[in-house]
Amino acid sequence: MRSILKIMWANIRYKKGAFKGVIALMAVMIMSLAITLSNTDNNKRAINQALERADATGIFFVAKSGDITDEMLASLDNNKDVTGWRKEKRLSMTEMKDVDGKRKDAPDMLCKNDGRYRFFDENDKLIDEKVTINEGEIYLAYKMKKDGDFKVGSTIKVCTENGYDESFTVKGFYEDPLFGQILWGLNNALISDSDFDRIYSEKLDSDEAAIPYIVSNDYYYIDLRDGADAKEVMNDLNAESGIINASQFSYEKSTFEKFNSLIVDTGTKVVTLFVTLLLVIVLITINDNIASSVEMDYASLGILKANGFTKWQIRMIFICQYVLALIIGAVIGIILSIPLTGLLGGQFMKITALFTENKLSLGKCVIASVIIMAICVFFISLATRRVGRISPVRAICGGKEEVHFDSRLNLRIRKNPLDFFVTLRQITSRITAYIGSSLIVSLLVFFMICVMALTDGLDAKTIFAQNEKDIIAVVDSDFELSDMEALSYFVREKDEDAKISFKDWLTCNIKDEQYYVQVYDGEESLFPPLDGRPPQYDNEIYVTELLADEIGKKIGDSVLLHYNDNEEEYIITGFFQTVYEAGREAQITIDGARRLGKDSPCEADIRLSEGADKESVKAAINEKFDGVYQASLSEPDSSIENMMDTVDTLLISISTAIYVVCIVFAAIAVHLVCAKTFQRERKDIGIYKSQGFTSSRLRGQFALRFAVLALIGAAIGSVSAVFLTRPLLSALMRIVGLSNFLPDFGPMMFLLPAAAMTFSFFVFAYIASSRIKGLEVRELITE
Amino acid sequence: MIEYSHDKPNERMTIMKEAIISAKGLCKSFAHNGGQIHILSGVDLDIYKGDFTVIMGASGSGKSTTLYALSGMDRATAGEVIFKGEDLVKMSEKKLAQLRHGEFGFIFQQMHLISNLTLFENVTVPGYLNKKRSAAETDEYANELLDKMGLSKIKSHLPSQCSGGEQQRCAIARAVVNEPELLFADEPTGALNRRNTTEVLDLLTELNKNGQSILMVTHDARAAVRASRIIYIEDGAVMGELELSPYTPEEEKSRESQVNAWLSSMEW
Repeated sequence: MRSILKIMWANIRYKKGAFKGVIALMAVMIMSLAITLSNTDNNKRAINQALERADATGIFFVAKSGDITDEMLASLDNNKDVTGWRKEKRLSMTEMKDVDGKRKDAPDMLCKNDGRYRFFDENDKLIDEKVTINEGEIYLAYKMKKDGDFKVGSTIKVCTENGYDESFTVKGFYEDPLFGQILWGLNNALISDSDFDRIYSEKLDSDEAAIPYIVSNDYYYIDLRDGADAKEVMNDLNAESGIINASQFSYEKSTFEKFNSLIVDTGTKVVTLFVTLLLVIVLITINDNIASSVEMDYASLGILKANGFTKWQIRMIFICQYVLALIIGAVIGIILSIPLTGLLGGQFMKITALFTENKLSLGKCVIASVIIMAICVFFISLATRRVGRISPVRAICGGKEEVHFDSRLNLRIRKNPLDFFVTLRQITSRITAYIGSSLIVSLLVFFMICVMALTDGLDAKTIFAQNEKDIIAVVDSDFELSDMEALSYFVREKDEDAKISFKDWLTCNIKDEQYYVQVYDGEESLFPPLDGRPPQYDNEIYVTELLADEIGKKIGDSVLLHYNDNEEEYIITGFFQTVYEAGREAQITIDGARRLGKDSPCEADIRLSEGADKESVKAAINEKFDGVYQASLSEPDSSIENMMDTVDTLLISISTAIYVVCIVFAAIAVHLVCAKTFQRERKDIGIYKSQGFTSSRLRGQFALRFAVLALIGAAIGSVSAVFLTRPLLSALMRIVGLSNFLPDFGPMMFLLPAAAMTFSFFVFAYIASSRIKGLEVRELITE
Repeated sequence: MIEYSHDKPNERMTIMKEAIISAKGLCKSFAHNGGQIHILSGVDLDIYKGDFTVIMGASGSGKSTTLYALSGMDRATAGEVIFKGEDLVKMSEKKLAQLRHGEFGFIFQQMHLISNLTLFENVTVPGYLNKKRSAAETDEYANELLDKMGLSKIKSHLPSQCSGGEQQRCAIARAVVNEPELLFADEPTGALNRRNTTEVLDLLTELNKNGQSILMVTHDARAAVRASRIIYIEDGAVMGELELSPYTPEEEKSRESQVNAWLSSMEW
């Protein structure tokens, strides 16, 4: 062992470059992994602690006040798995709010501070002391801070039946433990007890009011005994009293855990996939390094054998060398991840809106590092098998066999461009030595294209079904269902190319599971179909692929929808995808909703043709349909914009980090390969110099070689991306509801990564070839 | 300029000869273990156009160092090497590179052909650096040279598929493809067997007969007899010179005796 270690140290001293290169690769890989693992753990911990603080560790549901009877509540008390429950009142505001003169849709719920909430200071740190909310003050959910219109000191006016007569001043932001994550449509705000009680007693509208400006909702938190199955309990409660069915929506703890960590988990999956890719690249690089080392040190290794070293001992030298580099790299990677975990954690906090501690999950990082090292050691032992073929006799006689280059592709070297043809000859002469480099580029380019496709493909229209609209008409006190057709007719008189759609929603039970069902009728589809078509008739339903998988149905099958006491059958006509409700949604027509007894009015969305006068159409509608419809010009949905901005920022951060890591990896891989290539070709470089080739020309040829390799790799990566991006991203994005991610390939998506890698390879190879300049021709000449 | 006789080989006559390279006070030292090792100590030397000059000396005498200092392949520590009015010792790398493909040719002991280029390409690639000649002209000339070297049939072979003699002949073709002013040869026959040695020497003699100036380093007296001028170097300094008449195969034995006698007088 001693002699093995001695030789190992000598190798490391002599070939520091390769040793450092492997350390750097391992460090980058482990750093990426450590950041991911730590953030995942930190996020999970934050979510669980938040759920415990909110008492939402069992079942949670929301119902209109009055919808839950005493008998229903008694079923809670009677259930053996229910250990307790509490109710919280909320005020739901249906009209747009006035925020410093701007119309905004958020916040939509008001509640009291029951002491369970935590508050952020101006630096996004938690305030330790107890916070008292005074009259006229309001605290908004942290996710709303992203919207620049909501800032400390802003005035929010809420509309009641008397007009905008309730006014609050924003004092700060708080942590909403259940609905704080940006994908939740709910935006809860905290006001003082006195303000809440006053509005509740004086300003509440009944559900039967023509326009219920402020209604009361109840939040129910149900605790379950340890080990109880929340889904089973919900079914039992429904069977006994129908309490869950009577709610507007209900969730179990696992739904919150899953949904609140949706984006973070997606980001984690992307990074984990990336780290796997980096591991493959590390293995390719190590394999290439070992192959080159064995080839170039053939004589030395043969002499070792001649001196009694066995092939296993020689292989151990390599293994010990690389294991040492891997260990050092892992330690450095873990250390580097400490500050970066906080950086990424800060970005994720903007998504989850939960205060997250930035701890390093050291145990998991160490285990992951050990697993990676074990995989590397396995590959190293495979790569060193070639040591067994070394012949001591051949080594003593002066080295390896003569090399005949069979694969020259018969490409004659031409004068113009001379450098290109010489470069091509260099590549084709030793093609096996360069396969690894091209493969590395192909993997990096493939991944970069996937990330670009992901970033480009996540736009609001695609995932949030945001059809463009110019005018929104909401129903007023005198509305009747026949007014819908009258409105359509009237609008077309004003603008024959106008597009009108009607929207509503309900929550239905399908196979004992509650699902959100969009009610929609319009000329343009709300969700583009992935397969089949949207529903046209009252007995048709359109579902997401994920919902269809859950209920085990396909296009053409029928499903039973339960709504209140009604039950109707619908035929599945097609599949769509959406990120709403984590991709588990359905859509029926307005007539389809009427079959279920949903007769409530619908909102009308109107899109006018190019150049139409929106103001005059709006005014005309308000005049013609006074008391029936209230038309207003459409404003961007700030919560969705807010959501998209935050998701965009996160995606851009992750993509930028990935691109940087790709370039760093390219630099290290090129450096390692160049070092070996330079050593192998020292003599040839000297010969070229002696024939009159200048150093800069030879460096240019050297760099051109790697640029050509990068181009070949980029081409392979691009072709792979064309075929594999869609299934890969669909599998990745399934978790957020996008079961069929359709990348929109544009030329830049291929050109940019290819150009970045080719340029990087060229530059890094040029830098690495600086030794050519210092190479004296004289050194190569033997007497 | 020296005096030399055409008709009477052993008599001097005044004929003006042009010096291609003039070295003055050439010194070359290497650092070693904190001290300096002096290989050359003030060498003064002229190399003349049309001459077949040979530098001889014992191993470690500095003959190869002299060759590389004169050719610019190695920079002298002190002194000057003037070629066409410019000092090679002070010349930039870029200009030296231009000299290497434009004015000088090199033949090495170990051939040093590029292993992944064919014999034909080993000759043409340096030729393509010459901007004055088109690719077609270079190819044509390369074919001519390879034909002259007896390598036409194997010109598409790789160096590893050829014998030592074939490789060295290819190296000669490579060295002269750009019609250099001066051809430098460092022990060109050192790695060859007797038959190949004769072939290579014949080629060099022929080239010189056709006007090619040659500066060769050798320790082989049989190679030295081909020269028109032999310079003896010992301990980094020129100890003596021998002028010879132009070589003919019939005079080989007498020349060999003459050279050996002279070398003995130099205490070779």
